[in-house]
Amino acid sequence: MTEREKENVEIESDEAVVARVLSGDEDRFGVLVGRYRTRLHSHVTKMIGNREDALDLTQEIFLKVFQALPRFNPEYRFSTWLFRIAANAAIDHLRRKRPKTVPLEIPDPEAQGRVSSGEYSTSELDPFGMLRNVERGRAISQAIADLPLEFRELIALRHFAGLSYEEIAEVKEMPLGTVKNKLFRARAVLKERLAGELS
Amino acid sequence: MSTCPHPLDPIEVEALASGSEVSSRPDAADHAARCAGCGEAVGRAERVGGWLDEAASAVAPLPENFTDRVLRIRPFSRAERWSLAVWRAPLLLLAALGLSGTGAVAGPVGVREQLGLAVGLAASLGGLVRASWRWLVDLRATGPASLEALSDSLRPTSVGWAALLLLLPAAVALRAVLVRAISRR
Repeated sequence: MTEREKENVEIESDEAVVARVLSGDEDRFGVLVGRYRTRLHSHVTKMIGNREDALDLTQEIFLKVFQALPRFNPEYRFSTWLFRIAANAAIDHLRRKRPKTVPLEIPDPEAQGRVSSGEYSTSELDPFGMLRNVERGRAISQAIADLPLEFRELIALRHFAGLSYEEIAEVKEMPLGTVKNKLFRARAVLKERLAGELS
Repeated sequence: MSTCPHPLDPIEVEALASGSEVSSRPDAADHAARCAGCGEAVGRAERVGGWLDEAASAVAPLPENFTDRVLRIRPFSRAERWSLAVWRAPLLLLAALGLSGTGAVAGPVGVREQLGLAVGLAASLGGLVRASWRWLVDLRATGPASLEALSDSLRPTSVGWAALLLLLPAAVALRAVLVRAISRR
């Protein structure tokens, strides 16, 4: 791919990329995967609470999306359509498997020294500060995992997928006011559960 | 313990912390700026929001080759499924197998025997086609009369209505299948 083509890919809208994929340039789907992989994986990880399953499910969601592309309605945003499919897939996954409320971030011996989910980059902190941050990261992950599914999903869409309130309203097919209200309630519950960290 | 006589409720605090308007209480922002207790509650909510955003940026990354893997295992698109390029190799393999099979048989079995086998196969296939055709012709001839007779015998009984009702789920299912087939086009 030439520099020019790369630039064009960067400025191409999602909907234009979808149109090109549907017109026979199937490998262009990689552009969409590249754009959304991190946010989608982050969202799925918080929804299902298990890193390995989240990786598989993220892959499965992209494959589902590819298969469903001919049914995509370009009147809607691709991102909201993608996250709607992702939300349904995550809920199906949770129904298939018993919800895991505890395992969020099991210490991984191979990940020693690597910043992991819920932990913060702490290069300038003393060991005590680092430990406190790691513990806080775990507390946050645990608090999210303990939320009711609807609240967890909204928190994941807002903070981990980075969607705006309007996009979440489209994904969940809810009025904007309801989305905000439920999100604020979810965050109030989180704050209550993290009272120990805040004090 | 807050001594504020009109404290912000948790939802209002969260709305302020996330920079949204508080429709239920238009003076919420001013109140939080003046009231130490409510201001502190908003500050705590902002800290939790900040932690959530930081936690999002710290989720373990995907493998480097994730995109390539998705592209490698993706199913064929509709256009690809009908493309000769995709099926060329299996078709060539099939043709090669057919030719080699014919070649293997052609050696030990002579032309006369092969012709005999072909005639035998054609005769049995012809018999199958003729029987199927006769069955369809008979069905066409007797079908309407049989259905009418069945209908006449069932009409005065409740069994007839029950049979009609039993057809409803089949009709609904048929409609669903047709709608799905049309929407996939």
